[in-house]
Amino acid sequence: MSIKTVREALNEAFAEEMERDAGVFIMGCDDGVKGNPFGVTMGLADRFGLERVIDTPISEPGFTGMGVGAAATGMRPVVEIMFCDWVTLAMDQIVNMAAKMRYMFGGNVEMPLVIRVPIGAGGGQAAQHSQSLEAWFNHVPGLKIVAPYTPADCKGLLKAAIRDNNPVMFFENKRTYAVKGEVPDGEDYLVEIGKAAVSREGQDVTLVTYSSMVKTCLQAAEKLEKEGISCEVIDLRTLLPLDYDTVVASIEKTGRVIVVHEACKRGGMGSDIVAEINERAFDLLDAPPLRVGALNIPIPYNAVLESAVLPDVSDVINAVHKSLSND
Amino acid sequence: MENEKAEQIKSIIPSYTPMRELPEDLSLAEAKEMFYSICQIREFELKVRDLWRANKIRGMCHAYYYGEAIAVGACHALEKGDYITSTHRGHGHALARGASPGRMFAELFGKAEGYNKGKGGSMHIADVKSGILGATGIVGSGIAPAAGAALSAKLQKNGKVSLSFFGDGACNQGPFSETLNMAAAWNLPVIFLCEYNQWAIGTDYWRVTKEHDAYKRAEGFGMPGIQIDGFNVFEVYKAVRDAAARARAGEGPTLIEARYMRMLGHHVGDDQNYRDEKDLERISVLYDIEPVTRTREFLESAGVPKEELEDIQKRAAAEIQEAIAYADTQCHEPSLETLYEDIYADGEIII
Amino acid sequence: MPKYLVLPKIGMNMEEGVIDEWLIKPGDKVEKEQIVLRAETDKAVQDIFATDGGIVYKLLVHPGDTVPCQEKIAILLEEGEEYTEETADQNKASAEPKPGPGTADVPERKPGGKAAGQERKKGKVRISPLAKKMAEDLGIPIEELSPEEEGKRIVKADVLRYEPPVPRESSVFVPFTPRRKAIARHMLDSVNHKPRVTLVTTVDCENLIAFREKLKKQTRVSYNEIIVKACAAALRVYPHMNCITQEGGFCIKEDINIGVAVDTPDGLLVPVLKKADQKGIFELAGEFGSLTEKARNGQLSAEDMSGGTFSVSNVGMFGIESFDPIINSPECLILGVGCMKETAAVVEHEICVRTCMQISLSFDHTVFDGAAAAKLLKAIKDLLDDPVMMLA
Repeated sequence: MSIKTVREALNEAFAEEMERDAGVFIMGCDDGVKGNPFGVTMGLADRFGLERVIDTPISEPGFTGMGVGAAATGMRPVVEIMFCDWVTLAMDQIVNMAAKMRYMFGGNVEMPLVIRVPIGAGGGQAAQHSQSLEAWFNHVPGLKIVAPYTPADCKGLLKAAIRDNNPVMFFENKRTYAVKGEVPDGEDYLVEIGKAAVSREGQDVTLVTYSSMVKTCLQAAEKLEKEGISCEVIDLRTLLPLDYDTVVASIEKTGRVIVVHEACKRGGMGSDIVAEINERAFDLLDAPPLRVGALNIPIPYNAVLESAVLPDVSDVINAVHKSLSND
Repeated sequence: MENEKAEQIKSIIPSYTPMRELPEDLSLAEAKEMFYSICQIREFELKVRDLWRANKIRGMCHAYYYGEAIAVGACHALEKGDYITSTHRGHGHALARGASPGRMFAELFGKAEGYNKGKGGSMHIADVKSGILGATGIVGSGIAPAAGAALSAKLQKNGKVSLSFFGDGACNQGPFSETLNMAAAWNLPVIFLCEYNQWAIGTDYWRVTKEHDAYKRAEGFGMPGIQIDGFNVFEVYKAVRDAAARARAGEGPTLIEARYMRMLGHHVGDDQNYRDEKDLERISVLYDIEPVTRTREFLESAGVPKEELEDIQKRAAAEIQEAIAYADTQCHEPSLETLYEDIYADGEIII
Repeated sequence: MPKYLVLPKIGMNMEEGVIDEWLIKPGDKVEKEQIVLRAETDKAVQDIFATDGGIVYKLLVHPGDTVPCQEKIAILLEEGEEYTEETADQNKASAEPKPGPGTADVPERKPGGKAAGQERKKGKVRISPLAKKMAEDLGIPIEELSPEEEGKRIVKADVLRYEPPVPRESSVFVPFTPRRKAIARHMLDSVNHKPRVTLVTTVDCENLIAFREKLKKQTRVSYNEIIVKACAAALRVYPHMNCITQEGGFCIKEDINIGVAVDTPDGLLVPVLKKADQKGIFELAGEFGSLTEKARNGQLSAEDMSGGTFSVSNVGMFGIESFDPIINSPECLILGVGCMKETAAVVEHEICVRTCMQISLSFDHTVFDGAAAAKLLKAIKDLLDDPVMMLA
């Protein structure tokens, strides 16, 4: 166990997996010589060569498609879309090829492909460099989606994603690269895809969240505790398949649930999670399940405007109060 | 008279090349095999059209008839283990790569014994084990994966070559350019084989593309580009053979523009209302140089007895009849329990 | 500024009234002290006076409403004054702060959106799925659940705090009417403050019956009037016993005012025959007849029922032989009268059949002792044994 940042944890995951399996390679803009704009792949090219840490041209559809072809032919590519916003360019390859090929070809194609997609706003990068579009992929059978928060989960889930034989969308939040935490050592450390974690136990309200909002929810829970309100915080870690057993077990205890994410509220993961909760656990609900997400507004540049769009601790607290109001 | 015809043909297929002699590395026996393969594909597609019209086949069927020379020539030039990516018009690619017509009809009939277990259908028939990395129904979406397979081959240093079949329509998709650039930049062992049939669904390629010669784009990406007679199985064979040799030698990709003509509709149910009589009249001259007629003429001229050639055609027809009977009478509907199978790897089911 | 009429407290024990009838309507001009309303109080339906003067703008209460004393019952305006909400109620205006200007709408992030919680259908039970399921599993009828605060959703906690009603037989709860409340308060006051002793004796009614037969030939006379007259005559003999209690003592009254308990549909009423000692039996009979009539029609005035110094309660008509009545506070004496009945009696050493009647006198032992009361009862008995003696 040692203290590492998310950036270091991801880097370590890459190094371990590339060491372990010669089929693992990275491709994306600036991943090689530069070591990624966020420093995630720093040093990997020196160690594994530019053949395996490939600097691509700015051709998302092209290099994502190449990742698909390489995955279908025995490699374990990790393709990086530098900003989540640009995943739009690569949608055809992700949605129509990577996700569908195994099924469409009768189970005869392997697709061990990881697509890393940094999400998140908050840095004044405006509408085309700030989005969190993970919910789109929840709509696509054939994909898996992970969105970890802690350095340990980032490492364990990236390694698990690389070893998974399915196309995995890996959403890491740009603002969390410097978040520090304890990370288990050792090549064998993995976090199972599809398992949520209870980040904080509580009795009154369940906060279901992931990625950067885990921190926000924990802070809200801390404040609410002073009011005598006890929140359980669930870090989903994986969005597809989603660990509804853990979610429902918590609701069984609290009867109240709020889904919190940074992405736009409308059509976000929260909408689907709440719908699923209604179907699975209606009789456990003591209050309507609520959602907290960004306003349905493109991310604005101005700092005040931007922070008005993004959900924060007070939004979570307000939602908890509303849930408990029995209104 | 012959010259006049040749001029007419050249106005459509500038790269028209008469079939005069066997390529130096091909035997007559191989040429006869190629003829069989051409006849097999032709027979297959004609029956597909009948069966589609008889409502035995669902969805859309984009027949490969008259394109046989490209699939057969190209696949004959590849090694076992090489990769191809196919298209919505892909039956010919699969057959040329050695797929069983019976299992292909099984797929077309939606049977569990089909190559795709009844989940793919006409547009996606692929015998993945033969190196076909799938047939895709989205124009141009197989180009980048083919280059990805080439990247694999390069990283794995296994000497494999990857070939992407795509049409002239796909040349106007963005990923075409992106992929050619990367393949050239990284010297990937990939062959870009453009099956230039002049039609992008219902739109004449020339109406929407200023530069009609697709092969010229290669120069812009820093790779060789060549235009060939796509009705001439030997020309296709030679071009792909040479491109594969370059690729295996680490000299990078090649763009081959195989000019032919879509003689019939986009799919078997297409009435071609967008094509006028004059155009159909104009292209009728191409029936003289279409692959079955022409290859047969060549083999005859090379001394193969007429009876033997007729026998080859009959064998091909019989094989297809048997294949249909197999698919029709010996194959099974997939069970509903297979619905969730193969969405995820290793038997995992995510509902 | 509008003024209000309030329901005045017009009796010692009055706490509320049930509105019976308005005598004014909007637009009428009313003077302070003018009778504007009839209301049923603890005593009777009474006239209620105006607590202020002005033009009636609006009546705030309606017949049948139970209104606590001092509650606003009508709005009055000055002549020519307009009624506006602003001027309506200073207290209210100051109690509810209005949103100040400049509270601009901030971006909406309320869970559930703006409309949630608004325009809720009335009458529909709002219950969480969990609470509903729990109630069903526990067999609790949802109608019996209620939210902690009105208008809120019924939730798990509400199911957990639910207490099943005590198993009960078929019964109907009847809240006290003001009349009943008054009776109850009155009885409790007597029992708590007037330790009573009841003396019983028997009247030989042969003479009484004959006496009444004679009087009846003249006019309608009941035994009650004769008994009242006998009581009054007896009190005349012991005038110090004609008294009522007051804080720290008792007050001997000049007038002998005898109340007679009357059963009415609304409960027990005790109209008072004033100066009964000074009135003849016929006069008493006439007066009592009209008081009884008024009592049964709910028309007794407070005056009709006030000022008593002694009460008579006759349950003989129900066949009751004897009982010990509760003293009608602040009085100190009450005579209970049983039924007349043929009885085996001993007269001049012979057993014979006589019509007899038991009478019992309850007295307030705080004021009198047994001997005094016994003398009084003896005097009453003697007069009833031989009513002619009342003329003496």
